[in-house]
Amino acid sequence: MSLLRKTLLYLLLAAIPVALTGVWVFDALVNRVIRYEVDEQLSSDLGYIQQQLQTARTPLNRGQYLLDNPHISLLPSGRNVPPTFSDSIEFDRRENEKVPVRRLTATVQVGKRTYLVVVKQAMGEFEEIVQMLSMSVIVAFLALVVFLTAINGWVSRQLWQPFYQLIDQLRAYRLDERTPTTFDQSSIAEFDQLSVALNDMSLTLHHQYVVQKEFTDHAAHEMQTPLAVMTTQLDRLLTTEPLTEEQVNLMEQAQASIRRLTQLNKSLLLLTKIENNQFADQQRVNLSELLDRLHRNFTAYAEHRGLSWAIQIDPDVNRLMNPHLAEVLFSNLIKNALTHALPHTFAKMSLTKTKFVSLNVGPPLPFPAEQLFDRFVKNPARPESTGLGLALVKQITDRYGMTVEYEYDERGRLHTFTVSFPT
Amino acid sequence: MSMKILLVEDEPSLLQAMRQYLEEDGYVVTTAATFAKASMALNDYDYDCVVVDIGLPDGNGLNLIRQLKTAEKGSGLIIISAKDSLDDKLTGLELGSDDYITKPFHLPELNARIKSVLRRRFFGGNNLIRYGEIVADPLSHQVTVAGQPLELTEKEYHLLLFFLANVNRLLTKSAIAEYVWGDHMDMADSHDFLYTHIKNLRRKLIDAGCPDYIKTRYGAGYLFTTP
Repeated sequence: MSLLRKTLLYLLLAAIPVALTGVWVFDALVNRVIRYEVDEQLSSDLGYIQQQLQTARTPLNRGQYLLDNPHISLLPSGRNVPPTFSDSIEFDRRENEKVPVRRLTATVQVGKRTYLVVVKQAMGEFEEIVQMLSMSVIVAFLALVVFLTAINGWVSRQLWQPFYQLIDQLRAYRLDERTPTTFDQSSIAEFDQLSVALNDMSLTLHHQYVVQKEFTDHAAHEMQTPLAVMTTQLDRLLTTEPLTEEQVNLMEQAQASIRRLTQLNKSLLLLTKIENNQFADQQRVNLSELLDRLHRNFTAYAEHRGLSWAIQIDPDVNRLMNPHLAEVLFSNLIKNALTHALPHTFAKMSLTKTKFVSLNVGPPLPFPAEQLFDRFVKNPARPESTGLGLALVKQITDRYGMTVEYEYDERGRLHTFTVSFPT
Repeated sequence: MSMKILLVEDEPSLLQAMRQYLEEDGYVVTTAATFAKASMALNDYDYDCVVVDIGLPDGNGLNLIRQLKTAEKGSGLIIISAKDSLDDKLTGLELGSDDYITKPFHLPELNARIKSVLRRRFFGGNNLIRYGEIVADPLSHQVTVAGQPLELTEKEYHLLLFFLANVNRLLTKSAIAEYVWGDHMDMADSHDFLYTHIKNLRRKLIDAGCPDYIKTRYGAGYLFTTP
């Protein structure tokens, strides 16, 4: 639930009891005031009747009693009754319904006669007034609540606008952008503080990211010279005489390790460069020609491994890519298939306008398939592989909006890699 | 007359190793560890081949190349770079360098490249490579043994040239694999693969009537030498 709705909900939850209590209190208050006023009116009517009785000294004209109000009767006993107010329900002939009535009963002493006077006032009209008043109050209150809600909604939207803007910017935030993201300032102090804090964070993160990127870049480059020294020193050592077989073997192993390290370094550097977008230049690469060339380069290796390798290339498949990355992509896929294929089996590849498919026979993966394109994931049986070849494949396909999928068919022990080109 | 070579490299042990290796091959080698020294050496003398590390601490090696090209002395030029970066490579080749080699490299490989550059520079590539009854033509990639053409695959041809550039030197499998396949062969069984190629080349040479030039040494390397 949004902050705005939550606020409104609480507002309404608070408003409802206030409204109910308010209406009840208002109703009671108005009722009481009206009753007081009616009682006062009845008392004054009684006073007037008393005065008239005393002046006239006779019972009043019968015609006046048509409505039986006031009701004046002679009390033979001469007993005095104090003025008493009471409520009752009477049938109103005119309205043809029962109506509540307020009555005042009192005795009036005129000379030696004692009159019992009852003055009545129908309360129906007043109750309607009270109801009307209460209704109007409720309506006014509801209108006020609606109005407040609307105002609150509008104000909140205005107030929170910079906040939502910051969230949008955060959502679009990418660490690997060229320049650090700048968050918009706000006229609201709190949000401005937030924006300042985010800007600081963005700058720091960007700086650290750049430093780390450069570190990888520099580390890889700085490693090249010591590697070169090791390589050449071993080459020198190999020219010295006399050498024993053991010594040469040790040197050869060291050289093989240096070669591996060099490959690793190159692959890491390549990954970093792709991430750094240092292969921005693109041109139309004729993939058909590229694959044809790779096919020729790797044929001897396939033969060496006893593989029957068939490759079906559609002519003139062109893609807009960096030529170097195109070569890395396809040579890595081919190398992967040819190295991991079981000896004396087959490998099949095909290139069409829409996709490149590579098939080879091999044992199932020794690790979960979803790790296949991760860095440094490799077959434990082949420790000398860098474990970066397919990571590079993934990175390159991602970069050009292609997808690479892997499937394994248990029965045929078939590994299938499919690179689909975007249309 | 022996060829004069200028080596420009700021890493002393690397410089030393390169110098000794090349001197043993009969070159006259001058070294420079800084941009300033290299610039001076280029001004004062003529070299047949200049090998420059472009990552010098006191100046970009590419400027040395510009200086060399402006002087038009006709020296061969090989760039060494720690960066396997296309930009450096392209700039270097645009400026007229003959070859480009990335660190780390093997001394036999540097040697083979220097020989190739010198051949192209001074003989227009027309200079035939001879060893005993073997004659290789770097232009047409044709090889003859005692006048009879020898059919070699491309890889076998490169392998032979590498051996001929480093006669009597122990070449480890790693150095050979690096030269013949470069980046293409970081595979687990590249050594087996190499063995197959060398075995084929050796048999072809023997079948053509050559002595058994290629010797296995200590099970870890090969030596091309007259038995």
